[in-house]
Amino acid sequence: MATISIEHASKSFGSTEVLKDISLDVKDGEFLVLLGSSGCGKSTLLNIIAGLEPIADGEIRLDGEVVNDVHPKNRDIAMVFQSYALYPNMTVERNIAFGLEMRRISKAERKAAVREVASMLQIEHLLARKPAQLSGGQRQRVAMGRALVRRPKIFLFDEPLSNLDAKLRGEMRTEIKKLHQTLKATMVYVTHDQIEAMTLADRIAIMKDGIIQQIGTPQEIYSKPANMYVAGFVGAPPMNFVKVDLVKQDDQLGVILPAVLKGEPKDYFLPLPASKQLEPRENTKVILGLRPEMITHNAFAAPNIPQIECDVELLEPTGADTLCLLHLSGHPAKARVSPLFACNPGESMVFSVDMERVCLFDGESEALIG
Amino acid sequence: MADPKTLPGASGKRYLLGRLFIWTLLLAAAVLYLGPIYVVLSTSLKDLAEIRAGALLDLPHELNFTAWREAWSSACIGVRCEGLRPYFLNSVIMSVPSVVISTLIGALSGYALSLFRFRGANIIFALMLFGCFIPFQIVILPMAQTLGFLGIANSITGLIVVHTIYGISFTTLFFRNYYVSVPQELVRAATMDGAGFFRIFWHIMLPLSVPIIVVSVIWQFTQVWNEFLFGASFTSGGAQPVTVALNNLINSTTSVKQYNVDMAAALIAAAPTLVVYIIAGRFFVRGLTAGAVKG
Repeated sequence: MATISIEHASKSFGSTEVLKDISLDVKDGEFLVLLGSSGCGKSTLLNIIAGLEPIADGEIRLDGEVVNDVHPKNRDIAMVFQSYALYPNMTVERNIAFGLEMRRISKAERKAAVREVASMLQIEHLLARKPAQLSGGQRQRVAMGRALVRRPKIFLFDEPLSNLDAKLRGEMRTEIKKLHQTLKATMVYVTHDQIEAMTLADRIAIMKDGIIQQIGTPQEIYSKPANMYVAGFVGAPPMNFVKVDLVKQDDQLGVILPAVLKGEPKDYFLPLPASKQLEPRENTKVILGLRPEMITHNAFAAPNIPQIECDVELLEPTGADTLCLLHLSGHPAKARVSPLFACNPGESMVFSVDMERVCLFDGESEALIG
Repeated sequence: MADPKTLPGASGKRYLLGRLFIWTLLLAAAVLYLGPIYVVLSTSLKDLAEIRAGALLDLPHELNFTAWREAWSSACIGVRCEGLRPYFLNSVIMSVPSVVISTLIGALSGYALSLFRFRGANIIFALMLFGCFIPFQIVILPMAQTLGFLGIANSITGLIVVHTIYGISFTTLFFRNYYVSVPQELVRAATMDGAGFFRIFWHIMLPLSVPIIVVSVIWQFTQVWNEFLFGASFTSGGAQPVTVALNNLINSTTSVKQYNVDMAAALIAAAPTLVVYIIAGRFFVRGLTAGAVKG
């Protein structure tokens, strides 16, 4: 059992508030990812859980017990650092065993524990080497081994993959996920990489300016982003935002989408599904959020799906999909189509717009309204 | 970096002229620096008759170590005719603890000032730096009083205390600047592993510090061994260090100036710093620049 519960935590460095009244619960065995751009306070929050930073206000509990004043070494937490922070003067074996050594565990037990972890991470042949003789991926494994060997109840990861090249990052990501499934331990993982967050997390907490913007499963975060910041941060290419008028035509509520066809402005009326329940906002301006895959080629679309025809300025083929650059409401927007149906740049093309899945945001508060 | 010789446009003739100029300059500088050492060394190997008869730059006729023996064990300093030996030992007894203690304290305070940054760490560091700029002469009087008060005036122990305190500013500066380039995450990782302030220092930081320890040891040893003013001011008679004894040996000669003995004595007094520098010197430059470039 290992739960983390943070209540109304705040923290400042000098006059800058890095954490503002954060409350967060991590369930036993959960993989929580703290996601945000640099300076959003996610690493500080992790350090607070670890006990490496004192908390200014609020409470932090592990398994229901307040640990505000408990030393990091007594919290039964292990941490993997971005730079790996391996001890350069020690061999891999001693690096892994150091935590046990500090806890006065006998030499024989240490040796057995190191062997076990090393075989799990496939680094047995590296045990006699010094960190300087290892590659980035090997160092990463040793850093994981150092955390694993103590069998702590909570694992913390501070951007552990950001120093690896793309291929290795993908491999280690899979290994971390496997590890979580095997150990079923509580893990908190800090990253600025939304793909890492989406693939690893049971739940994601998105942070900005020291405030948690939204906590939810990756799917919730992706399809029901709480506000425009979350919507823009998660997903690549990011969600298109278009300022539109909310109007009623033929007794149906919908939005007017200003597009461009053959160089001329052309407005399309796109009806909204009744489930959005936005009648009170009729005749106001709202922000329509369209993920690129919601604007796609028309070939297999159901007949009742609304369509728009507009100019495609240029194409960005990515292999599996081709991205079309459009102009919606005077701003560039991207549509995702199959390469088979992509038009030539400069021509116009018919797209279907998936109005069931679009997001609508308030123009002022930027919060999700439907 | 590319080898300048292989760069396009580095024509042979101009390159050679440039090299020739540099070599000549270096050779001249080397002669200028090594000249006096040659004179001291060759004079110490001559006897008095040969010194009087020959020219200053002549090589000795034979390798005659009589003057060295006399300087080491029988030359008269004041009324004692035991040579430099007892004073040389004084210097060893004084230097070794001063160097070891001031290096250890410097390592510890540099570590605390850089990796355990506490409120006011920068102010304390700035104040410690002042110590590097205080001239010896300023502290002589108060230091004499303090040593008297502590009951260690006119003793080697007193000199050890003085040199240790005086060295801390420098050693702290060395170690602090070395440790600021050590990643903070190392300390955090060790903290999570359960190591405290002293265990992190002992198990992780000290093993990393070999280059800067060498710098600190060379610097402190050279300073303490060669120091004259404190030795002359705070000790007399049997407790004097070798630098003071050397001065007294040369000044207390009453009749004929024994140049060969004086020169041998000077070389004996200078030998330990030379030896330390030759053994550890290659680490010196490496260590001095180690903290300067991050990453």
